[in-house]
Amino acid sequence: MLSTELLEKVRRVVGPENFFPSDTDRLCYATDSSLLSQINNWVPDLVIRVMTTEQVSEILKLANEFKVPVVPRGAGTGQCCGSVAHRGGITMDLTGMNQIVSLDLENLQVVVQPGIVHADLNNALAPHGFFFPPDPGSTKMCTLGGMVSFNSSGQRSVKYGTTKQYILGLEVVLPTGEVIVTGGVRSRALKSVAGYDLTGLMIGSEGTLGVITKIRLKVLPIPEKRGLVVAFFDQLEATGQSVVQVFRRRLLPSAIEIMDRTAMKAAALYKPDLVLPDVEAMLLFEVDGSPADVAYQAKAISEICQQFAQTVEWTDDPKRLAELWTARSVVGAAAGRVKPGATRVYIGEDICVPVTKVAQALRIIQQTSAKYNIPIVTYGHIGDGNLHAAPVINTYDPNEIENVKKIGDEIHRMALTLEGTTTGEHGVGLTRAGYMEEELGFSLQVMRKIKRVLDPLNILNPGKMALDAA
Amino acid sequence: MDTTHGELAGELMPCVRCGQCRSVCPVFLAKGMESDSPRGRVALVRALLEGRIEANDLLAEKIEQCALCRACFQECPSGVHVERIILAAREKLASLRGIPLQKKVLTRWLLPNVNRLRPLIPLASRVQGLIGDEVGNGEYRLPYYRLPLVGKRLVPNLTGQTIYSVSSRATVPGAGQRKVILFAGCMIAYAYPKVGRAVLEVLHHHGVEVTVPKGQACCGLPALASGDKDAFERAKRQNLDILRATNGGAIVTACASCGSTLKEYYQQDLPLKVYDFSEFLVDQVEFRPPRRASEGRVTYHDPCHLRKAQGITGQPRRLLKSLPGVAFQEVSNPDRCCGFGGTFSLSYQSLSDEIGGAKVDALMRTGAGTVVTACPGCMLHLSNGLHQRQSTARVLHLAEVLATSYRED
Repeated sequence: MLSTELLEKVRRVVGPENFFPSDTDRLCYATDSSLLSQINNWVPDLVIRVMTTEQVSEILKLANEFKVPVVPRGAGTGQCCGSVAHRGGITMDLTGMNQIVSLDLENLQVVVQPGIVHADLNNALAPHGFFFPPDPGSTKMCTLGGMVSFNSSGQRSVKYGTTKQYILGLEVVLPTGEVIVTGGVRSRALKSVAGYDLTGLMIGSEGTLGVITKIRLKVLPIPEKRGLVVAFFDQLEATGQSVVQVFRRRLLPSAIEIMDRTAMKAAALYKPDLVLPDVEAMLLFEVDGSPADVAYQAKAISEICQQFAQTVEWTDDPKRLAELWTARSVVGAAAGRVKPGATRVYIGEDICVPVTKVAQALRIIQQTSAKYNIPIVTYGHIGDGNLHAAPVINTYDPNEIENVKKIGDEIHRMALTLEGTTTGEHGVGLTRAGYMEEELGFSLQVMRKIKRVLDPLNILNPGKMALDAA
Repeated sequence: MDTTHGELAGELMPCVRCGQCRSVCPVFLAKGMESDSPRGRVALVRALLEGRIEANDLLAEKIEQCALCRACFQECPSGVHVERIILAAREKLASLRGIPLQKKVLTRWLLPNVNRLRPLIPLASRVQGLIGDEVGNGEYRLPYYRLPLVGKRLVPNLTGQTIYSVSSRATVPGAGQRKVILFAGCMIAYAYPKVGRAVLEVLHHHGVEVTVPKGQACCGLPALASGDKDAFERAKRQNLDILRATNGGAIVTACASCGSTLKEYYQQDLPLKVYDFSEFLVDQVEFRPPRRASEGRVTYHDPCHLRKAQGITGQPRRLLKSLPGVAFQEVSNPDRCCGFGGTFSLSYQSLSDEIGGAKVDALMRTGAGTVVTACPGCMLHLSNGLHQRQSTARVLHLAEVLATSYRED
């Protein structure tokens, strides 16, 4: 419960139109996509919408004065319980700050507010021939602030990398209310090594070190053409061999995606007109560039795959491209279809392992699925080893909830055993906090020291990323 | 309510809270808060079922403030039927808190008795000059003052006709190869009998004999949308009795909302199949395009209850594109709701107008002089939006455009 005095002061800062104390409004902020948030009822004490950097600063100063947690939040599309106020306090909705501040395309950069939706940014850039390359599956709803805070990426990270490669500077309100600009206060340069890389520190800090209020980001020209190679494999292990051979041949596809048998089945259930052969796995290689480059790469990748695959197809026809991508693009949503009366849940959904160990990881996930008798649909970005496992359960069945927690734990531990990570692009939040000691070692202690220096009263998104433990 | 095994619990489960619905929900895009998004509403209904929240005024408003346009369902990767969840929640809220007076007047008194008010229509048409001036080629009146239910927005100019007076004088050229029953719906029957007349003419032109059975009641959608299941069931029973007692080979309607209601809630109790007007014309008879047309540049607005509820998008476009002399211009946001939403527009007029504004602006950008649609509710709301923006574009029902062309043949 927040004091009446604090509530009144906050209301004055943000205005009554952006002040939401009712349980009806607050309850809608109790979850993200994570299973953890779904099975708890972590309702914030207050929701506010902020519209300016000054408001963010004032609110954080008040939060320090009254020792109340503040949880920044964009569209709430996360999957690791990162933007959920599990200790109560104030949830700060930044989606109202959604403007493009400046388009400086001659210098390959734009400045945006954090609440802008990823697809809206790219729609605004497209007529100018540019794009912001990181491509999360949640493009239609996720915000840039969330992407920076979680260093998000997507299918095309094989070639284009993750969000951090494109962030030139940030305006950040520190947990104690001071406003800093990283990457140079007046800079419009495309690179800079002046000072500590505080931009890098803030990226992926999951709202624990500051509230991002402005983002200067780099954009690239849209590739002239795209092509796609699809290959179907009788043996899971052959997928890894193909990917390794493609890299050895010095080819760099923009995306390399994998769907195992479960994922192909889910996609076919969702879109019955999709005809997929009965094989162990399929790979999709996307290539982009000039028409000649696309044709060259696609031909070379097809030749490599033909050594290992049962069937190979390639196309640069946009219609066929869309058809072939359909299987991959629907699988996340389609996962729930493999078991009537059940739905997918987000736990253990974002491991990343060395590319050479993807096939092994997929086999172990299949064994885990059999052990608990819970379907797990698995697909992901084999090009960087990032696998999305989607257990499908009846969420009203407490036994299945308990079993799926065990599945999540086993998948996370397997990733660490295979020299991978518990999270490739979704983040730590609360869901993966328990693995950070093992995964990060002494680095975690350094992170905790940084957190204490910047946020001495532990106001900003407390309890996340294992930053609280001694 | 059973929180673990109920039908509603099953509808709620597939929502993985991804938030993709935020990208399309017109109410969320206008208001911007999570509680205004389909994901937020689903969370609220779930909390209500599980006893985590009381049925308070704000909660009721959030559940009410859904236009039932189904943009979220169409967008949802997990196929969550948000509209079913909202309707169930409204029914639950109605049982807990009662139905607001305004809606009760509409769903329990006005619509069920609209048949009995029929004799008053010629009289009403003579005195309607008292409420406002004629606008839009005399098709509408702009009220001088705020009227009950509709506020200060355009209302159809009554001609003294109804679908029943129109159909009794309609001629049937030649013997009907097919017989259909026209389910007119309240708006076509009383506010837009000219649309009903056009439907009859077009169907007659294709050798289809049309019966317009008397005593049709409202399809019940306004009652259903208000959480008044009893009133809906009464309307449904009355209509089923009439439809079953009438000879015909199919049921045709030219109102997208009636069509979706009939298909979803009546079809299993009916021996005849229900078709939308355009669906029937393209899929069930050999459509004969007119030889002449004079509408110039036209665009088309997809009614949500046709596009999203019935999956009908190709047939109306095919009909329009078949018209000689017509330049069809697609709108940039065909998925977008016009903001009417039936009872939604009565309860939340400014929000309804704001949502409609985005659609009207896009329709105007097509440069079309005629906006064609297939639902009388959309016709009314779009006409109002265009009038507010001083546009001279006319809104016509697809049947009107076709009928005009055949008349010129």
